[in-house]
Amino acid sequence: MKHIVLICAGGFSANIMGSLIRKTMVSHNFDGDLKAMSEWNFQSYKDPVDVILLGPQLSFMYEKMKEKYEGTGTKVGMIAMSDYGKMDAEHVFESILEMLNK
Amino acid sequence: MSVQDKMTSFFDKLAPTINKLGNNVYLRSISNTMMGTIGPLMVGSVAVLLLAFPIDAVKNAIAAIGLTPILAAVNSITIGGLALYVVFLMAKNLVGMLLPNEDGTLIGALALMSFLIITPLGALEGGGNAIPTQWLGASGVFSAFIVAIISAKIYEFFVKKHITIKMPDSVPSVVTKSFDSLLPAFAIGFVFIVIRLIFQSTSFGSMHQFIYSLIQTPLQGLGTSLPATLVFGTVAQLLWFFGIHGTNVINPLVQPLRLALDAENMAALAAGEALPHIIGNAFWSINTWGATTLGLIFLMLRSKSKQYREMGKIALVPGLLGITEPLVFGLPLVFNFSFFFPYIFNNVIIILLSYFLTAIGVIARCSGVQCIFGLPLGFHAMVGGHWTIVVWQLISQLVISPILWYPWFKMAEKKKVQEESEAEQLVA
Repeated sequence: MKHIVLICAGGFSANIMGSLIRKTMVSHNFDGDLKAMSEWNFQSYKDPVDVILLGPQLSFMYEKMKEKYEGTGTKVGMIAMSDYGKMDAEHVFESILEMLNK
Repeated sequence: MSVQDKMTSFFDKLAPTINKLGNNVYLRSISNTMMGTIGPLMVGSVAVLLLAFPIDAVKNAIAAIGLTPILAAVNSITIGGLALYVVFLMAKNLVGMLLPNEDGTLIGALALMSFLIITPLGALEGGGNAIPTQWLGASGVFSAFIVAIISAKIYEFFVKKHITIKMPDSVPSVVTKSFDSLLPAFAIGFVFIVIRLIFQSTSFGSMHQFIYSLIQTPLQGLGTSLPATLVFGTVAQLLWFFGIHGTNVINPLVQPLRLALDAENMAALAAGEALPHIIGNAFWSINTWGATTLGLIFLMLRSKSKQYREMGKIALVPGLLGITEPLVFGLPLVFNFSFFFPYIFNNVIIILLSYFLTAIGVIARCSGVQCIFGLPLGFHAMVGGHWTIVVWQLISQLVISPILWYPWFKMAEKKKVQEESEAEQLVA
């Protein structure tokens, strides 16, 4: 069971994106769940996470996040701008799989 | 090098600074603190709205059941007590970031103590002490931030330097530990007792007054003036143009200033007085709603380009809720020089128009009640407290915005349609 967390600034666009990715996960029989939240809520989020995905508007946090989770087994990634804008859940799902297999 | 390349390389040079700003622990603590005050602010806002309800029958009914003094009291300890929440939350959030293993609640309590130590007590007629509300509200917000930062830094100093009292070995370690945790408390208390003593002997009378006159008032005047608001509006959009959540980066710098003005408006509203400010955080939110992208979405829905129509469909529902990301990253507006001008400056134009119309009395001043993000267009502006504000949000987004986008859209569309027909010919 893999735990994915999707973060954006206010949690709104991540929620839209997240519900689409969840649907994709179900259709691919993926064993895992995805939570979408704001960056603020994530600060107090204590549950285990396998993959953290940042919305492209949080690109300025990417390096800091990567440093923080270096060597913890938690992967940090950023969603590509065009995937996020066009809400391409299929493509984001593929990149989640890639990150998990790395 | 073209202008575009120059801008891009300029941004690359600027990026580390923006990263630093976006990740700065103080600014992030301020931002989290302001978000944390939303609860009491909203309860207070409802109390104010009921106190100043626009329909007299409702207002009279509230008075008849004796609710008026209770609502006024709720207003005084929520919006009128803003600094109390700020000082606690700021110290807690800052320690949480400076010292990752600490949760910061204890230091929040100590900061609150320090804030009250420097607040001069008043005397009640007929005996007894009272804490005057003068510095607990908007006027004390800056003081609250400074007290919280000093308290948190003293605490950090003690923890990082491992300052402890050397006790003989025979003293049980439980006793030593409890003494150690008390050391920063005493140090912080001592510092603020001295601060109070010093300011009491000056003509300011208190640290609150000193900070209010010398820091808060000038900064507020500067940071919330019309020119400054236009500059911040432009910078926020420039950051968005480069793909960064500009609002989030800029907000911690100006939001406390604007919220203090909103709190003053709400206090005036509750007291039945004229609202003192045009610009505040609510004014900002209502006028920069969705960065005018809804107008562009409408244009795209009826575009000759198939790609634009598709994009418009994806972006419409989020767009009606003020969520711009699909368009910003999907069209995209990021790094898209065809839409550079309207994307950067439409907000500023709307702010200018709105300020002017408010100044001459066509649009009412915002009540100061905070907007809830994610409410649909129009509903979002209702907290403004007057129908003219709602109508203005509708007109600015549904009429003015499409006009402002139109010329740029037409140029971009022409190119797009050409590309699409060329692509079709290739396929054929």
